[in-house]
Amino acid sequence: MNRNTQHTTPAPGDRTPFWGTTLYSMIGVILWTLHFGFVYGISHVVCSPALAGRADSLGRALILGGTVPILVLIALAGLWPERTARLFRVGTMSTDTAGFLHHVARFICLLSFLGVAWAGAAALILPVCAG
Amino acid sequence: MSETNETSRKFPSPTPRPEGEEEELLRIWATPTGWRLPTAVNNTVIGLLYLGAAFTFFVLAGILALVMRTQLAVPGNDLVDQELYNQLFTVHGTTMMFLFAVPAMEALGVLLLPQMLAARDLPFPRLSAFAVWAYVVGGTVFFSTIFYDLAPAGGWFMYPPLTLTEYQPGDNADFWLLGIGFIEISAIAGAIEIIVGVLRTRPPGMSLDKLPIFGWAMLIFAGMIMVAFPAVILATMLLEIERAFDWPFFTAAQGGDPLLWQHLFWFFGHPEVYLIFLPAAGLVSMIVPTMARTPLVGHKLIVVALIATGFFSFGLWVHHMYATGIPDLSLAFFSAASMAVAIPSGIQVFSWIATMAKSKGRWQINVPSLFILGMLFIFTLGGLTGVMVAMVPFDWQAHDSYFIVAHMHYVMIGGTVFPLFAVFYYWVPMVAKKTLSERLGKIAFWFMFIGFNVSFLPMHVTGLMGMPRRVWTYPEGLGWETFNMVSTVGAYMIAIGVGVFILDLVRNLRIGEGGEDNPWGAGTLEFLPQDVYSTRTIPQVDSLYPLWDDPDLPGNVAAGAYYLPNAPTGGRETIITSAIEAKPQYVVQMPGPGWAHVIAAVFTAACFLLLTVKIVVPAILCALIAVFSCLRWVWTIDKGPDNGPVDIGGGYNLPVYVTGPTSHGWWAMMVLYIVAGSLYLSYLFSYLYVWTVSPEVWPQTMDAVAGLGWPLFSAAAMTGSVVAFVLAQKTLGPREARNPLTPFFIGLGAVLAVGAVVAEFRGHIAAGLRPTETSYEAMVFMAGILSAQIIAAIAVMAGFVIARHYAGRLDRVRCAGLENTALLVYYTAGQFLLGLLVIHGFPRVLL
Repeated sequence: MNRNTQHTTPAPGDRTPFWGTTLYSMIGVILWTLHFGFVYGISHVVCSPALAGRADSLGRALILGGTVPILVLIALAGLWPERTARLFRVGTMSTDTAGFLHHVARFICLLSFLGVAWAGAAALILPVCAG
Repeated sequence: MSETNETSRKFPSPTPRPEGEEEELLRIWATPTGWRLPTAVNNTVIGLLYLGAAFTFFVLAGILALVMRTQLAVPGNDLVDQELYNQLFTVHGTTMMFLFAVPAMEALGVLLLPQMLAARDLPFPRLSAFAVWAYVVGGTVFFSTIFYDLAPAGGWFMYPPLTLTEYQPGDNADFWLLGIGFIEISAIAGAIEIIVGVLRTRPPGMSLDKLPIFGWAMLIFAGMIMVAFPAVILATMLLEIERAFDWPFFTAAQGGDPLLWQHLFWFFGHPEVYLIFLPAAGLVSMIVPTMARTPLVGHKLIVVALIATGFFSFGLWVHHMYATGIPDLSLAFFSAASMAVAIPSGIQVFSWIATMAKSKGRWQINVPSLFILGMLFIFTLGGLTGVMVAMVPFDWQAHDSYFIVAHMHYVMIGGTVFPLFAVFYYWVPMVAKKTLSERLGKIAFWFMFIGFNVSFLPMHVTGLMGMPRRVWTYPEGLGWETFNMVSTVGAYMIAIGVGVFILDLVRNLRIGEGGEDNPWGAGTLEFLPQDVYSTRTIPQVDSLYPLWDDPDLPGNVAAGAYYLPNAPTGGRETIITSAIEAKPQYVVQMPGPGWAHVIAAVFTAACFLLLTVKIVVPAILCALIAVFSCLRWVWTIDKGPDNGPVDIGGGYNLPVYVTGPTSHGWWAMMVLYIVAGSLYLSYLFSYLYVWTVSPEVWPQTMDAVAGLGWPLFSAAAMTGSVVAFVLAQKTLGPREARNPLTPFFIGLGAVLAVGAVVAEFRGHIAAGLRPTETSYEAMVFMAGILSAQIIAAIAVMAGFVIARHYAGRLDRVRCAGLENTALLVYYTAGQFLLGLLVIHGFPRVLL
């Protein structure tokens, strides 16, 4: 059997895109990263000399406003990894690979949920700029 | 199905194989000998050189530690003076982190990955060799500065303002900045190799769920290098530019901020700890199942833990800056991340313990397993004190005390050094004619294990008693004397243990083939029968432990029954498979031994070192030689499609030349995108950070901002450059038919890119901005410099591609060089246009 006879055309590879699969399986930590950058950026900027005076209420509202939707997104992604995979156009994979990636995505979402909740909860307890 | 068909499906290549096939493989993959040995590129040779160099730096840095411990053994000691002590701890820390730990892990990647993946080699062997030689030369020169009173003395983290010229005149700090920046670039080269290697050179059937844990660990490790190292490269650039040209990035009086250095450094520095730990943990996850004779418990969870650790570790950088006056809420985010990262680390530890427990008494006690057990004890204690210092109030008490020294060494030595010694004993049979001595190994282990705890456990107490780090001596009567003496005795015990290990190496390490293939009874591919060409054939992999699941696999692989049993192109090659499911896609033709990459590495190192001591003209000459050598090196690696398609067995008739998103070169460019993008994001962070701390140096009127005409011209020129490269690719003709428009568009694209960056600088100068005046102005010019350096590379690459056009080596099919150049142009355009938007837009928004 000659599966590929052209000089420079590679044999068919995966039927699912690598980048989509990567983003999907790591969606939990990617959202954690976005949240972390967002809350640290907000707390740094609202406490800086450039925006001094509007810190506490603005900062707290923004941090909590960013935390809740991200927690919801992570929860949805973790509870329904197969649907999340479809959003990233992750196509047909072997059963083993699909099961493995769904498992990885789900547990990464669980850890990320804890990480986001842990960091976001601090805004309920601590003053934004004191220290 | 008939038995013949079943056999044919299971074994892609018919056996017995033709006469002379293996001899041809041996000839093609032979290691150069004698004076040509430095030209070798085989991963086993390069990997051993890399590992040997890293271990040598470990021993050298350890000797510095002994000198320090001897100095601290008794109060009021004057064995070394304060200045030399400062140099000693700086070079000790720098060498251990930059010249030992990270290189050792990359070395293991280069050495072990092709064997674990049953690939003939990693896809860019000369890039690995370049990285190794650059590291060996640069590292040796850096370390030798301790002998000439030229060593840096600012600590391994080199905080400004202490390291600014005002407080550290001379070249000492520059050796750190240029030397380490250079070695980081070498580490990135290695990481590119590892990422593409793990994703694209796996054996057929080894889908991601069957990738060995070490492969996952190295993938995460290399990914972290991509993101973390650019931050410290930018930091070293900024500090060196401030030292050399007075651009005030870190000088508070001109709007700079020393804390910017700390942010950039620790954005690299804390992930660095996990960078070192993750591969070591990956190795432990390979050794534990073998020693327990049981599959790893929680394989999937360990993959989750590796990925989560890789990400979470980036949320810890302020963990090192709790005492800098950052608001409590910000500290809480980092404290939360610091504690969150303990969860995935704990998952790995519990998984190893569960695997041992599941073995039900089959756990083998030998030297590798002893080092693993030692690692578990020491690393777990380090992890516990890590949770303690993750808590802000405790950290404030322990900050900069010997408690931190103890914690750090428990993590680093437990998490890295003990696994590394387990690795030495476990994988030596793969490259040597026999195993190392069990007796000497056990003696080495007990000296190291007991010595380590004798040395570092008391440091927790001396730290809590108030002994600060980095003091060169202390007065009598503080109650620190006994603890320090005990620590010093422990340090010498560690040295004896390492000495016994070196004795074992001298007596028993004999590199070469002929030993027992699988003395430990491991289940993974690196214990298949090996020779200089790696495995005789590349097997089909259907499980995590193929050697356990198919005891006949070694024999069938050696008999030539699997893929690529020969060398169909007559040269070095391996199979490129798809990234997720590992389906064979094409055969890559790889370069063999050569001098060009060695010369490039040596002269690149020479250029950096001459720049350090301000010998500019010879440095430029060295740079030119290095660039020419790089061009010579890459001229021959594009071998074209003529040798294919080739039959690799199993009905696969694969091409040997591929461009576009399937090619490994394209993947390497995507990895380079991530590196360059990470560096530029670090810059944008720095730009915005400086604004938040010093808004007063930002433009107060429109007169202080470049007129809009300049950035519009720059944007148009850069867009034109992109269009020119698109057209250049479209005008490529068939073979033997050169289209004169192709070199025209390539040249035009390069000229337009250069014009764009020149216009950007001209605009700022016309607006009266001077980079030496304020941190804002320095940041504005820095944006141009970051793009200019890539555009300089584009100009060189454009000239190279034009030369290939006139040499008849560029056409519609054979176009990898132009494709990669165009990819770099597209990235640069994106970065440059984003930079224009920020640099010219942000001040206008503020006004």
